[in-house]
Amino acid sequence: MAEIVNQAWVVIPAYQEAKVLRRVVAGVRGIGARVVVVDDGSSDRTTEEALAAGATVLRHAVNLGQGAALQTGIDYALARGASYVFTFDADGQHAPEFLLILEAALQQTGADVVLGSRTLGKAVDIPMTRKLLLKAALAFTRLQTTLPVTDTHNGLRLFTRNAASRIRIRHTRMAHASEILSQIRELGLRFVEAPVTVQYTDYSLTKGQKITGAFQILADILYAAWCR
Amino acid sequence: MIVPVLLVGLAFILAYIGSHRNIRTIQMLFISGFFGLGALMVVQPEFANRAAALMNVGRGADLLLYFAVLGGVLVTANFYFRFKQNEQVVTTIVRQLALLSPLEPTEGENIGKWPKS
Repeated sequence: MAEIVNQAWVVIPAYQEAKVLRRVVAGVRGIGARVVVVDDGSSDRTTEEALAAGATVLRHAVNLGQGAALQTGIDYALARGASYVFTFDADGQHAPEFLLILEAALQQTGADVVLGSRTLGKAVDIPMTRKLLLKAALAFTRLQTTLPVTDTHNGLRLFTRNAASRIRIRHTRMAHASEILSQIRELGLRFVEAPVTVQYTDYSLTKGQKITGAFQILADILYAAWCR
Repeated sequence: MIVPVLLVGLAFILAYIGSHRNIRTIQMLFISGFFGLGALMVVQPEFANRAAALMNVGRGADLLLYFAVLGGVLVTANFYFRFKQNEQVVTTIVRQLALLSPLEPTEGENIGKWPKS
């Protein structure tokens, strides 16, 4: 079953995640995947915790943002010959078993990209404000990308090598989620969504997106549109 | 006395902007036009009032304020674009540095310790 996982690298962008990272990396390694953590300029023990859990670590000398960290990790995975690349959040919101759900979806459909969807799956203990923010982001992203997705800004994804090579994340911060979807459409890549569970905790909520972050994402998207 | 000081100041700033090699002709023309209008309003203060009357914005001072706001927005936008370009440069450098020196976990009892360089 785990044919894809064995040929894949899991990219985990991390910033100030020392509290939970060892458990997250250990869980992902437990299903047989190779892990690269991109420490995005953390000042805590994020790097040490990732190494302790057996991950390869790439360190950004300064904090650039999640989009930049993802692209760094993807570049590394491709250079190491990865046939598949997963992306996975560092804050413990996802159970590692959902990587196998994404894998199964890719095996069944032959898609280029599998996107995790909490709408098709579950969002446990999600606050109402976060729910509304996600709905607004989803409506905007659907309008912008014209893709019939049911979730945006979900950190669980699986790319074939071909897809990972062709997608280039230029948004350094959180607008990368919309950018990936835009590129999937522009490059004509086949995608499917797979149901995943996102477990919200007090810790993950302190790390997640704020409403003010939505304005930053909007500004980044408008800037990118202006530069085209 | 203030008129020649203002004119010299405008000419100096314009020359400084024009000395940048990477400035485009269209940008220089636009900036020169903007500064030319400024110089005209210094030499002929009534010009601002007449122009304001033509545009139905009341006093010349109001017209100057509107242009100042417009200029401020353009300058801010220019700085923002420069900032985004520099951000891309920094991202590329930081990424290349990170890719050049990956930290590999050590095996066995040494796992978790910093690898020897």
